[in-house]
Amino acid sequence: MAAETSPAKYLDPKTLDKIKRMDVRARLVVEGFITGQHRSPFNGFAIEFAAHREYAPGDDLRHIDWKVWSKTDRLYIKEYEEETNLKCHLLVDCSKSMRYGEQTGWSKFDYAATAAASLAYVMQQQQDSVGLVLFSNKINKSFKASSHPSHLKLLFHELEQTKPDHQTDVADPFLVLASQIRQRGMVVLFSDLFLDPEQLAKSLNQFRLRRHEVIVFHVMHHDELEFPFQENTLFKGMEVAGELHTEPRALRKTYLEAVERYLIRVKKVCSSAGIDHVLLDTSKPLGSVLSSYLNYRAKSRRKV
Amino acid sequence: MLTWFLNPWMLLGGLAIASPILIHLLNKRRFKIVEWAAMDFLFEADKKNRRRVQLENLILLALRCLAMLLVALLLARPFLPSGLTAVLQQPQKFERIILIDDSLSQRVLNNVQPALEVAKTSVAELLSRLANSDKSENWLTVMLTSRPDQPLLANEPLTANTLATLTESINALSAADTVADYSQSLTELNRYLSGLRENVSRVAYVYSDLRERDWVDSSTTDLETAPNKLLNDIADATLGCFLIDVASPKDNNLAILAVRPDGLLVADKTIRFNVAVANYGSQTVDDVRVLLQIDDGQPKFETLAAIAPGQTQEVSFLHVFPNSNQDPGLLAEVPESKSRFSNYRIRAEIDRQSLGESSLTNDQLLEDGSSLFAARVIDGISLLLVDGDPSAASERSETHYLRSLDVLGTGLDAEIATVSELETVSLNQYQVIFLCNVDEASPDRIASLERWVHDGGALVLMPGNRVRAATYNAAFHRNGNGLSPLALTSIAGDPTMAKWVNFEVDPQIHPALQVIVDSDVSSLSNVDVFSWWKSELPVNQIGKSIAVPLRLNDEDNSPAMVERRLGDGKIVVFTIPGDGDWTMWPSSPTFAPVMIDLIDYLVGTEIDNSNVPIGGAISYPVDLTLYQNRVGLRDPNNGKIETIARPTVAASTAATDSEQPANESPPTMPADSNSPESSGTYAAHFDNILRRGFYSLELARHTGETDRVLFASNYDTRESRLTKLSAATLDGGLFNNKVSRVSVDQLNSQTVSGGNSEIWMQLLMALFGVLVIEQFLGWWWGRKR
Repeated sequence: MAAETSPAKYLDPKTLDKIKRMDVRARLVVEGFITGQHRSPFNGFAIEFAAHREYAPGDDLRHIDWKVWSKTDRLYIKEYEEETNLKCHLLVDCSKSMRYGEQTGWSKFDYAATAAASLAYVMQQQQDSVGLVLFSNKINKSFKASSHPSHLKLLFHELEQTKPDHQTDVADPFLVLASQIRQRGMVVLFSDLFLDPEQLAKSLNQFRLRRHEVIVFHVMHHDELEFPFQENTLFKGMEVAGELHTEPRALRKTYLEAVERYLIRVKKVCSSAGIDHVLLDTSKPLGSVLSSYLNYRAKSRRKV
Repeated sequence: MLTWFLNPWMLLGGLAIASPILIHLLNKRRFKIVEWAAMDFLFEADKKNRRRVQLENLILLALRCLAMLLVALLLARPFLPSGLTAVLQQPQKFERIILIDDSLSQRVLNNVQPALEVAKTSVAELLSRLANSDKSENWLTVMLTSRPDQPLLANEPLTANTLATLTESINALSAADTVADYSQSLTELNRYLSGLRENVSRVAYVYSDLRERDWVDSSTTDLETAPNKLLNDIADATLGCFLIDVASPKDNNLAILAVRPDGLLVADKTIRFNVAVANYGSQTVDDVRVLLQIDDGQPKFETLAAIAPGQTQEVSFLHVFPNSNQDPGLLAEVPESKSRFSNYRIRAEIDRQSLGESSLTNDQLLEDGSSLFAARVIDGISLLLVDGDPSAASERSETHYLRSLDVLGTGLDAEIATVSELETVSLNQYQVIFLCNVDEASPDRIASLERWVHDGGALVLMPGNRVRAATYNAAFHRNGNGLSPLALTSIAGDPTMAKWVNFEVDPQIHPALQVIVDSDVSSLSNVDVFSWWKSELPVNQIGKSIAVPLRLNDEDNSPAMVERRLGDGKIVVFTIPGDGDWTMWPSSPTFAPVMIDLIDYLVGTEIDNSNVPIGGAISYPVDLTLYQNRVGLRDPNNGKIETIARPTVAASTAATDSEQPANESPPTMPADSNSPESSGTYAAHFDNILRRGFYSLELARHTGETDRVLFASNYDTRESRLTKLSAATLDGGLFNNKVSRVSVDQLNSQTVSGGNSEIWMQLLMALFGVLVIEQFLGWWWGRKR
């Protein structure tokens, strides 16, 4: 495996151990060319029976249900639901704000990259093809989806090499991406979403309109969620210009309220667009978060 | 303000207010830098919070500053000097400070008692009232205006047991003769108040007769030491301040300001005594009879027709003192004495019997209705006229005009001598020597002349046509080391008497010329001078040791009369002779008055020498060659004190000078200044002449006789102005409202409450409260965040 040849930074064994027996299943119908485990828009001839239809000239004689002919003397074709493989695109935000946390441990980008890498690994295991897009206010790098094992290695390498920079701006890159990804598939976004929720909704809708399934992994650093600062601090903007010299204790409450309001809005925006929103806290172990989410998906899949 | 604190310098701790601010500023400089992604939320939170946080921080800062201020105040230990604390605390300890005016004006009767007696009675009542009250502990300090620096009683405990002794010492008080100086007394009282800073409550009582001149003297009203301002300060510093009026409202007064002779006191001379009588009342007083009594003789009376209010009038008495030394044998016995005088006690008094019943009220203060003068009358002035150009014809003689001064009524006793007789006479029997037209003397004689002048003799040089400039200069000038201040050069002028010059009087008018200039300014400038000696003067000494009171209006403005002081004596040089050869002066009417005044001036001592102000000192030079060094003084009550004559300061420096090779003293001077018995360098000194009256200094001669020198000490005439402070002045903000003005009767109903109590406990509680509030707010606001 790729992990053995080069110790990939973002393949955390513990995380992988937690989620390797999971499947990443597309909840929506996706298009693929290899028979896999996801529902396909095409009816084919596989395991799951769908319906009978009358024979029409040109149909493959192999699919005629001879048992029905023997009883009714009519030629019926037995149709099955086709299962297909998944094309998944991982969209990782590498704007400057994702660097937060570098000094103290894992940055948000590290966390997001690990999550992306883990998902990519799992998907590759189940023969799905995985693509990667790194973006900030433009598309920095883009890799087409592929299920080839060496492709995974390339993705890992790219994640490692990337240094987050620039601002987050999803409007332009998502428009471009949406038009690039033709086949219906899955789009997974890893970002801190520090942008206007309205803008976010518009951009994500680009994917939804193309019938992609969209999952948003909202990566927030623990500091950003809890604001644990005590001493006098000068806050310097990473993306936004400007700085603020303040006593954090005095601001904590109002800050947390602002963050709370923002999260609620983002969730609302996502749910109204039918998008899964998963909040990732960098202090929580990635494996358990991912596994609980995948479990949840597995259970709720039947209902859709 | 500072008097409200026990440790005012601790207030500097108030600067510690700066410490919370400094800490705040330093904290602002110490911060962490965080690169932060979620700035938008932060900005939003900050926008909402900023004002509130700033306000909270400001309140906390103010509380911390307040805490520091309270700590500083606490250390400064303030106390409340007023009745503010009366409610809070009952004082235990009172200090009563009483200032009694015991000046002369307190002798004015208030009804039947002198004002001082009224004050004493009031103090005694006050003390007994205080001693018998068991509420509080009392301490007593009594100060007097006559000697503010020496309290009569200093912080004595006032109890029923000590009451008797304290009252006794109050009752023993009698009015002093001195003048009341409230400025000094109250300054002393104020100093006394500021000196002690214990937790006692002080009450000040000032017994005064509220004379206008004591309280609103125009010279001090604007100063910090003005009595009313000082009393206001005292009122601020004490719990109660009472100003007790002990005087009667009547304040009319007549006073004799002075009795003075108008010239030198010489026996056989008619002397005019001027008595100045002032009316300090508000009504004109008619027919004031004044008497003058000399020793125990028959008094003489003169009457002043009317003295308007506020006016001073003079009345004159003429008197001729007899010559006590008529016997020439006595003169021969003491030839060394050149200043013989007799003492006469002269007393001028307003004759109260002459004042009618109604006029008596115009003189409230009896004591200043008389004034004393100690007259020291010289037994005639001995003149020696040395004639350098004698002539058988009297009017041709050089000394003719001078000799004619010796008439009855001038007190002069002139002797004529020739130049050769000058060599042998005893100089000490003369007070003035005229060298008329003389240009030579033996070196020994010149040396003795110099010594004689040095010891107080007066020499007049009048060079004329017989004088040779070179000889004169060699004998008397000696390049500035001789007797004459000027060197003669040549005779100038017009021998034909066709042209002349006149005198010009120096603007600084010489005492000898004063009378003439006063009567007619032009009289001297009308005198014609035809010839005169041109002379050279050390110009740089003019105005210092040499004076030129009279000049000629020739082109050089030559000096006509030059005066020089040498030791105790004087030398006067005219550049014209004393006869009529060169000038018209001796025959003019101005000559005799000028010469008589000049002799008076040369002989005279200051008339006021015999007058000693009350509170002053008597100092008299003692010639140890004649007298023993033990000197006695008889005071007005005939008590006697003795002292030892001590070297004066000038003598002691002279003694140190003479230890080195003396090059300052002229070589002809005998070096007897080393001798401790040289005259004039020792003096008897008596301090603190506090009583009015005649003082007689007794000098015991080595031969056993006693010489007496009389001094007179009079009341300070400032006390005579009895005008009381008007109600308008008193109510017009002279004193602040903390000064309670009360009469003697009102005083008994006055009480004081409250006390000087420190408020550190209250401050400590306030500090505690502030700290609790600060902590609580800090916690509360911190929690809310």
